[in-house]
Amino acid sequence: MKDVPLFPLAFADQLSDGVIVATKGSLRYVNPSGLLLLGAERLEQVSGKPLSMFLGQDVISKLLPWEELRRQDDRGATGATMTGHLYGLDGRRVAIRLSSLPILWERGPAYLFVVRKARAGFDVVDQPLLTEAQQVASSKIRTVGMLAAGIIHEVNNTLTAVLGYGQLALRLIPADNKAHRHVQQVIASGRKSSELIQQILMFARPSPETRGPLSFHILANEFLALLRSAIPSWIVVKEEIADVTSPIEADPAQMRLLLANLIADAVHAMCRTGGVLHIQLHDEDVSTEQAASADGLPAGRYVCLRVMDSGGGMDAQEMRQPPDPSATTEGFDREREIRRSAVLGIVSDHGGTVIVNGSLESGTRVSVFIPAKASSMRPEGESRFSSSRSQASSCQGPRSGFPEPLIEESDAVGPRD
Amino acid sequence: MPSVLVIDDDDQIRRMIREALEQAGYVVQEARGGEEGLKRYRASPTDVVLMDILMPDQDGLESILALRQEFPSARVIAMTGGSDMIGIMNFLDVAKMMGACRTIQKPFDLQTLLAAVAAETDA
Repeated sequence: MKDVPLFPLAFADQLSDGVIVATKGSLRYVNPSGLLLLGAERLEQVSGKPLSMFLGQDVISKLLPWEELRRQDDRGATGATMTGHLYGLDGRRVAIRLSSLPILWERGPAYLFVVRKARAGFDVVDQPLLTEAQQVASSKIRTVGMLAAGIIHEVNNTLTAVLGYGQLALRLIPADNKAHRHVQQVIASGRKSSELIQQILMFARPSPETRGPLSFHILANEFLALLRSAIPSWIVVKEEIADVTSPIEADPAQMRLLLANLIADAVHAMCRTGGVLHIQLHDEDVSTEQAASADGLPAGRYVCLRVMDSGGGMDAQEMRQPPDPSATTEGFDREREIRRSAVLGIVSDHGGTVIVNGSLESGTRVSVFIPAKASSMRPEGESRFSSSRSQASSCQGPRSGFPEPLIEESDAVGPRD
Repeated sequence: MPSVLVIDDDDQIRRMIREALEQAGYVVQEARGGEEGLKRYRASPTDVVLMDILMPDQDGLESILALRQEFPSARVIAMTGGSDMIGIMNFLDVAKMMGACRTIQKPFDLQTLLAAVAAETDA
């Protein structure tokens, strides 16, 4: 177990997630964000009160009993992430996603909880107890994360030297000298590498949601440049990103995650056989007439992201069902389930709609419709919503809570248009 | 003439920063780590301290705390190329909480560095 010194708690006070420490079944520390979740203004209102007063049985039942927790001292107890409910002082019932970690607190066993409100359809993945295989996988991921952090530190230091000495050298070389241009190229390459690293970090860092007007085409172009080198050469990538798309109200980190998940699924499906990965992004207007035939997709202007693979991809059959929290799938299946859940949750959270066409054998086309910020309709004749798309059924997030896609299997799939 | 203490365990970077600052007219001292930096500052306080965060002996966060405890008016610019990929802490945010008055993410352009140092020496 990890003994928690005072410093991280000072830091915890700054976090947007709720942080709670409990010993012997009672609350000992709650950071300001946690107090907000509990409906309290001061620590004194909740300190010493039983944990069961605030955490639902759906969470409590997944935690180790205190006696067992004490015996975990020397065994390196493992944390867990789960979904459940929390009750505020005012009796409010809040759906939460909670991570628990056994720690030592004032020399005794304790639980450290990190709590955040669950978002509909997104935080439905339940990991109450990790199997041994999952613990190994989780530990590997943490190690890779640490290694990556170390590598990035070293690369950043190297780039600091490259850029710094390059700029110092530039001052000494006359502008008409050929070497001046060469050093300029070195500096430009250093800056480009630096930007790439910043993009990786932006993607990797969990950040508080910052939703605002977003030009998806700019984000997509930048992020695809980053992803391109990770796609095997035997998969042909066709990108059709519009020069300009309408602004959407979105969180950039979530949009990157959406792109990454859709592309990862398509690539994974084709990584053995090869194929064509087709990515489109453009505005699409849906008329009232078309909206009626495309069940659940309201009329209006959308920014449409379409990812198509030529075999496998996101399983259209699986997309019909919301993820089963009690499922015990592991490995690749579990990854796909998490990706599917993430895609549906993000789209739902942004008031959008997912339409899936196709089958595992012939390929899958996933179309994501995010409402344009200032929604406007084009005249009927100008709509680019094709008949094949209008045949597809859809899933709509915000109205049903969890998006429930209906799939038109007969629709032709694979790279097209 | 304004003075700067550069604390960084990376010899290449420390020397590069020294050269850039000296060319800009600063008097520069160097230290390879937090403890050595604190000793040098005690012996000869400078207008600004440029502090790396991830160092082997005493890291920059501890060093900022120690320096600010002993010299509350010390002006520290924290810099790092390090990043916590799993997002538990952003070193530069923590450095600010520890009392750094300004932060710089590595890699940086020399103009960025010089502008930050100038802003602190003018403050």
